[in-house]
Amino acid sequence: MDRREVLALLARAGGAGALLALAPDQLLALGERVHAALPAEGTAGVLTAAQRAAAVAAMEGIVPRTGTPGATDARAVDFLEVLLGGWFAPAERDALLRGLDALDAGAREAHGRPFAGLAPAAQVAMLEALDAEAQGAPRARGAGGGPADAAATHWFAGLKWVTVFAWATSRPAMERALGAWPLPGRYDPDAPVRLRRAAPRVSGAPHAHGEVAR
Amino acid sequence: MTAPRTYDAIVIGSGMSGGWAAKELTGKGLRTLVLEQGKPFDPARDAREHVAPFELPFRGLDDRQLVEARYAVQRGALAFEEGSRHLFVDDTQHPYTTAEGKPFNYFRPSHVGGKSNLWGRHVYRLSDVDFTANLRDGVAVDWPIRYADLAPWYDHVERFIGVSGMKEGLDHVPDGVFMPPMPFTAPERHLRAAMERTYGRERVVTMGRVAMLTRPHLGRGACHYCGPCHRGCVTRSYFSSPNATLPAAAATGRLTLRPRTIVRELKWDGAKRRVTGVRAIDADTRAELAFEARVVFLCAGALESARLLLLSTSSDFPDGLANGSGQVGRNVMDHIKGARASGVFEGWEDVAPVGSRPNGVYVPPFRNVTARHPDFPRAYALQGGSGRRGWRDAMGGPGIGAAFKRRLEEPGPWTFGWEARGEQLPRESNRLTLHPTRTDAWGIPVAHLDVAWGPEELAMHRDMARQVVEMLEAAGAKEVRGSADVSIPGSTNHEMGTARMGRDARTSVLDGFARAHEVPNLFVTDGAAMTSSPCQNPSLTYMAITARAADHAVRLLGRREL
Repeated sequence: MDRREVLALLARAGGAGALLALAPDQLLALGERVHAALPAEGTAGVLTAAQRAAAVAAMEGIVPRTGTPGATDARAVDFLEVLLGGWFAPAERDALLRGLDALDAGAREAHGRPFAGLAPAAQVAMLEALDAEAQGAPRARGAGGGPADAAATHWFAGLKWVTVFAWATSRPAMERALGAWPLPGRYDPDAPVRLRRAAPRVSGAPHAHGEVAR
Repeated sequence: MTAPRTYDAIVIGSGMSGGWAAKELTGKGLRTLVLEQGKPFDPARDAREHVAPFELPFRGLDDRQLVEARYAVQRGALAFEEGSRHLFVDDTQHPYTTAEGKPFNYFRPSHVGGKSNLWGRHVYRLSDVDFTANLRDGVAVDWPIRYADLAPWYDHVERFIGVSGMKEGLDHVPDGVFMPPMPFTAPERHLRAAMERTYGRERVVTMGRVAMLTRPHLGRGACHYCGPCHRGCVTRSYFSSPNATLPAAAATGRLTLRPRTIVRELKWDGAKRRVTGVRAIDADTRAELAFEARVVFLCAGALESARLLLLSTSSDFPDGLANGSGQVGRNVMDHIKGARASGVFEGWEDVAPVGSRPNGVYVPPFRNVTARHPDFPRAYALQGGSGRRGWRDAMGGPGIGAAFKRRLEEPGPWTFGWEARGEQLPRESNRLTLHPTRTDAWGIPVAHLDVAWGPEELAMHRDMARQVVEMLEAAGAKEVRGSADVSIPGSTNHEMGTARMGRDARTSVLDGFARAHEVPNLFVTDGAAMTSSPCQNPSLTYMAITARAADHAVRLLGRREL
């Protein structure tokens, strides 16, 4: 979701006038909360409001908005809902949901508030601990590499996989973070890498390179 | 849909071979009916190559439950993904069976154009190293043709389809009619030079010779490097039947194309000693159909063509049409693969590719070209490519937050990967038969496949697995990882050999023009005709065999010999 969309969303939610005084980051944070409360588009809405708020905050912590769009801008949580709504097997889905519940429970226990309500530093500390735990977990099903394998390894590995994938395949990230959209319409194998954050790259095509053709 | 019943020619199948048969036969004046089991496919309307990941419901992960339920086999095809799934058959409608303990992957297309919509577009000529191989090795039967017979037809096909590639002057993978090649990446240029230093001209890293345009050609546009060719191409930049041969055939005014038509039998007239036409079913209405013609081209794909011959029984041919030799359905071959290696090349960090090159490098076969390998006959070739995988490589790494995100946004290291594909020897025991009881959604007996690799292929595979690693290490790649999986037969989707050409009607189904020894007006010009399975990607040869056969058929018709 870009800033204009955040504003439009807030306007629809009512009381937009006073909001214009807020700083962009405050505005975005508020937008996230409004966004988090909305049902996902075209999904069964597997996440409860609390789980969704925790997921939004965790996903933004994994891939935050920097100079380029982050997970919330990419509506990564909506794609998580799509996968939870029938893509993940029940055991994988339940592990992810239990993980989000545990994230909230841990936040309440340590800080007396749900994860989404924690100060950024406290969120980062919890996510870094989870990431270290997931990195150390024995890899399920070997190299696999998909979201099911990640989720089977550790629920946070699953969430991180979905976050990165949903972000990297979103329009905002492909356009403004990865330089992968729109399609360039040409091929230059030796294009200079000028801007690190808008690095030219092979497009998101599944058979883009390094694979063997028939 | 009503179509006239009688034509000069009937072509069964509209893929690589069927499209060529249609183009050549209509171009030489024959009113031609093309029957295709799949749905219509119009590139302008149906190509989806520009659909972005964020426009796909599952962003490319596809609908896991649907795929598991209805595409359990098809999902294994290289071109199968969320954006191309609709171009494959639903496995529940097109079942087949396999012998116990002998899995086989049978990938089947669902649209006009068949596998020509989905292929990898690599095109390499065979040579007399290949055409004399069976004779030299004392395997199966000798090819009834030599390179000189096919060379003008390779020229003819290449001039029409448009092939980009590099001339290398190798006798065993002859140069063709090429437009400029697609460019190498920096690590690929390095690899080419490194291989030349290590192996001389014995192991050449060349740019893939592909039926993809690098300049406009015969009304088709040059490639615009969007990437997923297998979803179709609005600029018709890669060769497929819907992109090139079928429009050319239609332009003659002599083509009738009937999609959603399932041919169930070729009709044999014992008095005339000819096929007179086909019996078919409308796939949607189930209406029974019949069409007649003076000549029939069977181009349904090696497995379907064999199945159809076996389904076409008569008192003259109780074991299947044109099957006096008993060779129909036998000698199923595919290319063994699964030996892969990948590594990282350090350097060239200041450049990264823009756009998506739907092609890679190719290492022509180098075993048994001159010196005989002690462990196995025949050869394999390598295909691969390089790129900077960016977030795909970085996503599994440690960390969260802004620093982690920065790594996702960087191009990442240059990675290179390649895989070997090797020839399978023809063996009569590798066989397609009709299942005695099981039928498909239209009540037609399904194919039963009994196919396995032999010791020669497995010995070759062990060498492949070593060489793909050694060669990358010799070129200075780091973190080289090899994989020695043995592919399930069928997985390369290069099935062939089920109605082989040969010199003798007692031991082969087709003559050197891919005409049935026993049925003078029947030509089988898809992969079924192959007498052996040289490791070069085979479609170019199917096209050349088809064009040559069509020319021969029209000459015979002109002399009233059909």
